[in-house]
Amino acid sequence: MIPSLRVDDRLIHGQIAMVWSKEFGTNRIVVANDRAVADEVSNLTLRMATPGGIKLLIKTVDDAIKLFNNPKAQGVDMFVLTNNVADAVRIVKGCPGYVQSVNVANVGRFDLTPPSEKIVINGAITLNKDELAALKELATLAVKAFQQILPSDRKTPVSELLKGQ
Amino acid sequence: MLTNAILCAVAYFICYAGNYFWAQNMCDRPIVAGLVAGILLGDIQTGLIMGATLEAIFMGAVNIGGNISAEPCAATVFAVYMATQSSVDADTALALAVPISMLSAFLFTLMNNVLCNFQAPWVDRLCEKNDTKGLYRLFWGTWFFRFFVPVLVFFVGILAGSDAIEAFVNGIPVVILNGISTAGKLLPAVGISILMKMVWQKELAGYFFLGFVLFKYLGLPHVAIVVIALVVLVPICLRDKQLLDLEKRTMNMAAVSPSTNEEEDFLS
Repeated sequence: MIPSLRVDDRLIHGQIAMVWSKEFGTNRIVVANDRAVADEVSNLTLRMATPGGIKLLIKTVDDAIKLFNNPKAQGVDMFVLTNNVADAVRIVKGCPGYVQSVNVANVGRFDLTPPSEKIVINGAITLNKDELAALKELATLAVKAFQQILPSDRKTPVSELLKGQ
Repeated sequence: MLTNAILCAVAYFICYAGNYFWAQNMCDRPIVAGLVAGILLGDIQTGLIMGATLEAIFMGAVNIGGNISAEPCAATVFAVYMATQSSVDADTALALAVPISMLSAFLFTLMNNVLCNFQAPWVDRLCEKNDTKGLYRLFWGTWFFRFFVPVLVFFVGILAGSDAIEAFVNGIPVVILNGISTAGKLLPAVGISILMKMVWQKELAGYFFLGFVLFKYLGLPHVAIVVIALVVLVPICLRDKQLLDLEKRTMNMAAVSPSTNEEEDFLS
């Protein structure tokens, strides 16, 4: 199961390593990101940022979905990270019922879309057209979806984030 | 009074700004700041003891990214000042240090946010002009301003406020003061707990309790405990290295493709 699929544009960083990795009672983190697989520097950086005692798997989004549908993975809890909403939506749809919640935490601050084309939802979420469409689709899926940057923060439902869009 | 306030401000500037002067070298941690303040205020021993105790309190308070929970440097210099230069006792000074660290953390965030808004566009402009020298000047200018303003606030605070704080503490009834100073003694335990929340691992629990028993029940001095720790840890470390080398060798020999191997290892 995936107790939490987190959308975080930095994937693994301090808050993930120090705080969230302790939150779900699992020592498995999957980074589902096509670029992280192809780019050796991203790959090594992510491995370096992972704290000791945590197992990390870096997969393309397609391979990650295959892994989540693997019968061997059924009883296994893992914390999954993507860096954009569209990838998260693909995973939720690719393995029905396997994802228990989606946390849209930090999105789109470094995706190189010109600022004039960005829709600013709040300080941590700025979306381009495609990502906004993906977020709207996420809201219609049968999965809990919210924004919660740190465990001590309130969970803001995606429907609330999309108000006025 | 004025001399002491200046000395405190100098100690604070050396440690607080010194941290970012060269590669975030952590000289703003209480254990360093306590020593520096102790040297300048003429009581190295008290400075060291206060610094080490405050380090235990704030060891877990590491500011990651925008998540600023405490700024222990100001708190340490302040606590050393109160413990050496006023009638306030050391335990009460420790308890007073915590609210100071929070006030200072607030100033920390404020300075960063305000400066960022001015500095970032300036950096862009200098980069467009390819002005390397200008960038250096901007960097050091920002560095100085960023740390000088909190130091100034701290200086005024000590100059104008420490008498008032001393009078306030002396006005508190003894019963309550005992409570505050007991709470001050408890704070290192809170600090260690906050740290444990971040670094706790089941595998390491044994060492934690071993250390506690050695110190509390057997009453061994710190140096003896460090020696025992080395004796225990060095063989374990060497064994770990052997295991790792072995693992690497078998990995190289294994004919299985690394991707299935990695996945199975992950799920097991």
